[in-house]
Amino acid sequence: MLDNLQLLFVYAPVMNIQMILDGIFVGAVFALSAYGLALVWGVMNVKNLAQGDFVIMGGYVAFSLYKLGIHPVIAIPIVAVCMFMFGWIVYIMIIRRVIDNDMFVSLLATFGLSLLLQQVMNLIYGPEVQTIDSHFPIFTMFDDFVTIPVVKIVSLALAMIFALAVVIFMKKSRMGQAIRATAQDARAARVLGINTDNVYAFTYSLNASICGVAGVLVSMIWVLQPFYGIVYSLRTFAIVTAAGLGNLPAVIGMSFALGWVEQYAGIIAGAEWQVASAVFMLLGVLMWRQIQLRRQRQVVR
Amino acid sequence: MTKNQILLYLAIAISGVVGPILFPNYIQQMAVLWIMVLMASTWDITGGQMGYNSLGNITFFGVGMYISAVIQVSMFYDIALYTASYGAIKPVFTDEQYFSGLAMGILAGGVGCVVLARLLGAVVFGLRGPYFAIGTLGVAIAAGQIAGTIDTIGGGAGISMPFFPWDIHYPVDLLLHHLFCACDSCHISPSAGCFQLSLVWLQMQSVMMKIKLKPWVFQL
Repeated sequence: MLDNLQLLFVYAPVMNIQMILDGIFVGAVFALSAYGLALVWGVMNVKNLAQGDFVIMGGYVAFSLYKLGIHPVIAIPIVAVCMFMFGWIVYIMIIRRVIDNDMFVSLLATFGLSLLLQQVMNLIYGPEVQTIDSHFPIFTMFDDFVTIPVVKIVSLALAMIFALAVVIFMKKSRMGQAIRATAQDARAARVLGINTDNVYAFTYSLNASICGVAGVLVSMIWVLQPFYGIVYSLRTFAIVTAAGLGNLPAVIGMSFALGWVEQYAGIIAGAEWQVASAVFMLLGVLMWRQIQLRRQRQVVR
Repeated sequence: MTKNQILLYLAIAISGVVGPILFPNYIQQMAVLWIMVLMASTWDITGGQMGYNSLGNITFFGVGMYISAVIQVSMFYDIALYTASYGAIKPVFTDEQYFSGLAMGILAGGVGCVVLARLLGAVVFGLRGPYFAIGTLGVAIAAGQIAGTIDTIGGGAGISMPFFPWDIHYPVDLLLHHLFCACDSCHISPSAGCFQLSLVWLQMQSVMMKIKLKPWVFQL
């Protein structure tokens, strides 16, 4: 551990640039799925624990298309549409029945959905780690200390473009307005003639679609495995609880922060601690929130 | 308890005893069934009676399992050497060694989980509602990841447990096999597991919660 710290800060401080860049590249993926979760949580009050499995599923759809000879960058719109339809089906079959219930029911239902998706993906694709080779060149800088695969830059750009498209959609389009209205006051929206059931279905499907796109980026820059989804769920929860709902700049900032924390934990304590560090960050954030809330909590003495 | 309930429980108990004798090919499945009954009742205690919806009960399942496995092996062998061989070399356990190790292991697993629960409880009971559920789920996953990094207990490959020393041809042995099935033939690894006394932990924890909650309740 001390050796790694020495390496990082004394012998080759230029490696920090690599860490920071990698943190930004993976953070962009986290930001997409976290934005989807914030959307669903804010609009429908459904805590979607299947978030990470949607990400992995989108990646596997792209993987199947890649096997058919379609480049992942071209596959992004196809995956978005596929995941949109899948999200709609999931909404009709599961989420609609739990949406009015106790909030814990939605958590349990989506947890069950997540386990189901994991097993189905395991049956179809097997437990091996998969990745997509997108044939982009790799740059090196600073005497080969910093390597920047072009695919990561491309994925960052794609994430930015997609996020921008979603934000513009939410601001400008009729459906986006309806979603925002429903988030503010579902009952009033219903009174004013918005079909909230449709809005909920659309929101959930949009979330699935955003996750799917994030999954394509994961499959390009990282690896896919059927059981990695739950870790993405925890990461998105950590980001959203830290950033708050409907606060896009904070979501992006927290995503990059989480990316950096994971990168540094990975290099300092060992690769296995990457996931654990994300979980500890989640716990830390939750504790911090609770301490904040405790200040405001009032007890009759 | 009404008469019907007593009869029902009696029927369940008898089916538990007679089942493995009648259907010897399904012993493993029946053992898993009873473990799941136990796990479900832990959920009943935390989620139902305590009111804390925990998705992380499995943490104590895994920790208890590891503690008992390590105790059982390290009473007679060097645990680091044992796990380093990845189950290729099977040290011979005599009956006495196996059962004393198992008893100590189960006991230590229960006690260890209680201690861990006290420490973890200080952290996670600050959380409420869905945050508690997600926080405990996170703890469970982190525990799995961390267990995978410790080489002494086998790292990602896990620990292969010693074999059950008796033959399993006779009904009595069959019953014992049924009881010990979980500890015996399962290959323990960080992601998949068998049970230890997580129930004990949860009961203790709920008792502690009542003690902890008392001043609070009186304030209301």
